[in-house]
Amino acid sequence: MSNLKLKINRQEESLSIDNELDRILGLEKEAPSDVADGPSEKKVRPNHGKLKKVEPITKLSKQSKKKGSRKVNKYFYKVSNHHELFKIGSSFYHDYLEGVKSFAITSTGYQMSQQTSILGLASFFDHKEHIKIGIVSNNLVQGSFKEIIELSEKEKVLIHGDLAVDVHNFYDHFHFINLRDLLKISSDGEREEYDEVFDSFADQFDIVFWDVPDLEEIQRESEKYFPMIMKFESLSIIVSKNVSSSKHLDGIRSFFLGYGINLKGLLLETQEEVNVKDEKGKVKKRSWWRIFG
Amino acid sequence: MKKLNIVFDEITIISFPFLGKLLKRYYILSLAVVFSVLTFFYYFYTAQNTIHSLGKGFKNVHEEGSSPTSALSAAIGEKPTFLSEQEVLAIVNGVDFRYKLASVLYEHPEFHKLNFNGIEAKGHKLIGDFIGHCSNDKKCIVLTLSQAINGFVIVTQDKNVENHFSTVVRTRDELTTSVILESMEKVLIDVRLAMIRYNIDQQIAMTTSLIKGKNKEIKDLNLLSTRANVNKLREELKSIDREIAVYSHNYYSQLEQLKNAKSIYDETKQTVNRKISSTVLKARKRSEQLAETIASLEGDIQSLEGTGRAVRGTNKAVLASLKKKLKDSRKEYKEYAKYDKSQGHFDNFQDGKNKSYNMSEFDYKVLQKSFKETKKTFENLTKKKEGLVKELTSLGQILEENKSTLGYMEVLQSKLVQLKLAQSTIVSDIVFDKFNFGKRAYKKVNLTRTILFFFAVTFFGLILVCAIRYLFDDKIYDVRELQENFKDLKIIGNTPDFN
Repeated sequence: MSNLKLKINRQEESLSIDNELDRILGLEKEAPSDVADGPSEKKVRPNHGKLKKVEPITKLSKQSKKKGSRKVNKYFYKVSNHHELFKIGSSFYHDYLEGVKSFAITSTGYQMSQQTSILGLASFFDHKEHIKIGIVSNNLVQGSFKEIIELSEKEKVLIHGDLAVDVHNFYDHFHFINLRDLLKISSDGEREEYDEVFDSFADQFDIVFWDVPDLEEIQRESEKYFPMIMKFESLSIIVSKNVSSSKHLDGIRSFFLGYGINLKGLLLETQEEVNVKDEKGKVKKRSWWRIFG
Repeated sequence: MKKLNIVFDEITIISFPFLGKLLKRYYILSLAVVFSVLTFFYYFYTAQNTIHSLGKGFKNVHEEGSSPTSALSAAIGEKPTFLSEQEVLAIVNGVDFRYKLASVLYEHPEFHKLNFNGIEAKGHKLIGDFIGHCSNDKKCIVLTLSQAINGFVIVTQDKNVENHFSTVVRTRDELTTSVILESMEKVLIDVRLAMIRYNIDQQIAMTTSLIKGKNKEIKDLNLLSTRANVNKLREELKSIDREIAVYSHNYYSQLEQLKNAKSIYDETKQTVNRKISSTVLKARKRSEQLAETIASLEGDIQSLEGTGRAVRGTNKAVLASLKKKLKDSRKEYKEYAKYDKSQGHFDNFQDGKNKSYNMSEFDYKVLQKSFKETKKTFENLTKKKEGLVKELTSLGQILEENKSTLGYMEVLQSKLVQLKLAQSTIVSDIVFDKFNFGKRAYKKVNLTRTILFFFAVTFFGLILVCAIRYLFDDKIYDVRELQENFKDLKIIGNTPDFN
C-alpha cells in the first residue's frame, strides 16, 4: 500500500501539470474527485459541438457514501495517445448520453488490448463525469487490471437480494467485478433468477464495461454466457493490424449480430507485437510459415 | 517517387503503390523470391556448357552451268531441281548421314581427343566412357557415336543467296567442332553423290523395265516387221516412181513423135494423091486465052500508035477502047496467073513429096510400133504402183494405230541412253565454300540475357507470389482493407496506449 500512496501523492503533485496539459489538448477538465459529491446537476459541455447535453439516466455515484475516498485518476494521464482516447471516448460518451450504459469490448484474441481499452475508456468517462463505473472481466489478476486490482479495496456488494459479489473498488473511480463470480451466481441451478442476476448487477452502476472472454470460450459455454451477452448494449471489437484475420473478425461479428447486439464499431490495436493467447491463456506461437508474411 | 508511382499507375495496369505495399508487407517472402530467382539464374548461367561453334557455307550448283551433272541433265532433257532446305536437313538428320559421319570420325587420327558430350548435357564424359561398352566393336562404336553427334550439326538456308546453305557445328570442344565440320563436308558430298547416283540407277532400272514391257507388246503386234515392210514398199514405190517418170517421159515424147509422123505421112500421102481441079484447068485455059488477047491488043495498040493518026478522031476512041481492054485483060490475066503460079508450086511440091512418101510411111510405122511397146510398159508400171500404194496404205494404217507404242518405245530407248550417259559422268552438286566462318565460344544464354531474364522473372514472380499470398492472406493490415471487408462496421479509432 505504501507504493500506492506514493503514486497517489505523486499524482496529486502532478495534477497542476496535467491540468495544463489537458487544457492544451482541449479536454474538458472536471472538478477534482474531492468535489465529486458536489451538485448533481453538472453541465456537460459538448466537444467540437457534437455531443448533446443529455443527462444520464442514473448517477449512482451521487449516492456514494465514501466521501473523501475518491482520488485523482492518474490513468487518464498515462495514456500516451490522448487524442485517440479522446476520439474514441467521445464516441462512447455520446452513446452514453444517448442512454447506452453497457459497453462490451471484445477482440480477435487480445485480452490485454481489451483491458487497456476498457481502462482508457473508463478513465475517460471518469474524467468526464463523476459516475459509478463497473468493469467486468474474467481475468482480473493478469494484464492491465492486475496493478489496479492490487491497489483496489475489496468489498462485498449485494447485487440481487441477498446475493453479493466481491467488488474491487479503486478509489471510487472504477469497480472491478470478476465475471466468473457473476456467472457462478447466474448459473446456479438452484436459483430461478437466471437473468436477473445480471440485470440487478448492471443496475448497480452508471456504466458497465464488459471485458468479453474469447469467443471460443463463449461458444463452448454459450448457455452460461447468454445472460451476460443479453446485457450488452453496445459491442466494440478490437482488431490488430498485421495480426487479426478477417475470418476471425467475421466470426465474432456474425456471432454477436446473431444475438441482436448493436455493433458499435472497430477499435484498431496499433501496437506491433500483440500476444495472441490460446484457450488456456498461453501465448500462441506464430506458425513457422508466418515468416513469409 | 510519388510522381514515379503516378506515372506507373497511369501507363500500366499494375498498381505500383499497392505492389510496393505488398512487397513491404511480405518482405521476407519477397526477399525469398528474389533470392530464389537469383540462385536459380546463377546456377542456370554457371551450369551452362561453353559451346564452341564453327560454320561453313555450301551451295547447291544443280541449277548452275558450272555443274557438269546439271549441264548434262539439261542436255538430255532432264529437268534439274532445287535442293531445298528440307532436303538438306533430311540428309543431315538422316541416320545414314550420321552413321557415315560417325564412321569418318572414328577413323580420324585425333578421335580419342574428341568430346562427344551433348552441348546441353550435364557433366563430362570421356570418349572412353562413350564407347567403353562396345569393346572395340567398330559397328557398336559407330552406332554409339552416330547417336551422340545428333544435334551437333545445324544446316540453314541462306536467306539472301539462293541455293546457298550454312552448316554450323556446335560442340563443347573446339577440336571436336573443327574435326566434325571437316568430316561433315566430305560425308555430305559423298552422301549427296550417292543419292544422285541412286536416283539415276533407279531411273535406268525403271526405263529398262518399261522397254522390256514395250518390246513384248511390239513383238506381239508384229509392228517391227510391218514397219520394215512399209519401208520396203516405200523403196519399191520410189523405184517404180522413178521408172514411171522415165516411161512417162518416153511415152509422151513418142506420142508426140507418132502424131507428128502420122501427120507427115498423112499429108504426104494426101499431097501425092491430090488431082488438078476443073477450076484450075479453066483458069489455066482462060489465062492462056487472055495471054493471047493481050498480045493481040498490044499489037493493035502499037500499030495504031505507030501511024500517028489514030490518035485523032475515031482512032483515038478506038485506041482508048483497046487500051482499056488491054488493061482489063491484063488485070484478069494477073488474077488467073496466081492460080497458075500456085499450081506450079504445088506441082513441084507434089513431086517432092512423092519422092519422100515412102520414107514418111516407114518412119511412121516404126514410131507406131515403138510407141505401142512404151505404152504397154507404162501401163504395167502404173498398175504395179497402184498395187504398192494400196498395200502401203494398209500397212501404214496399222503403224498409225500403234504409233504411240512405237513412239513411247523410241523415247524410252533415247532416255535409257541419256541416263547411262549421265550415270557415267555423275558428280556431286554440293560445293563447299573455301573458308570457315563464325568461330566462337559462348554460352547458350549469355550474361546480359540471363540478367534481363532474372529481372523479368523476379518482377513477375514477385507480382505473382505477392498476389497469391495476398489472396490467401486473411489478416487485416490497414484501415482501408478493413473498411473494404467490413463496410457495415464503423472504425471508431485506435486503442489507447498507456505509457
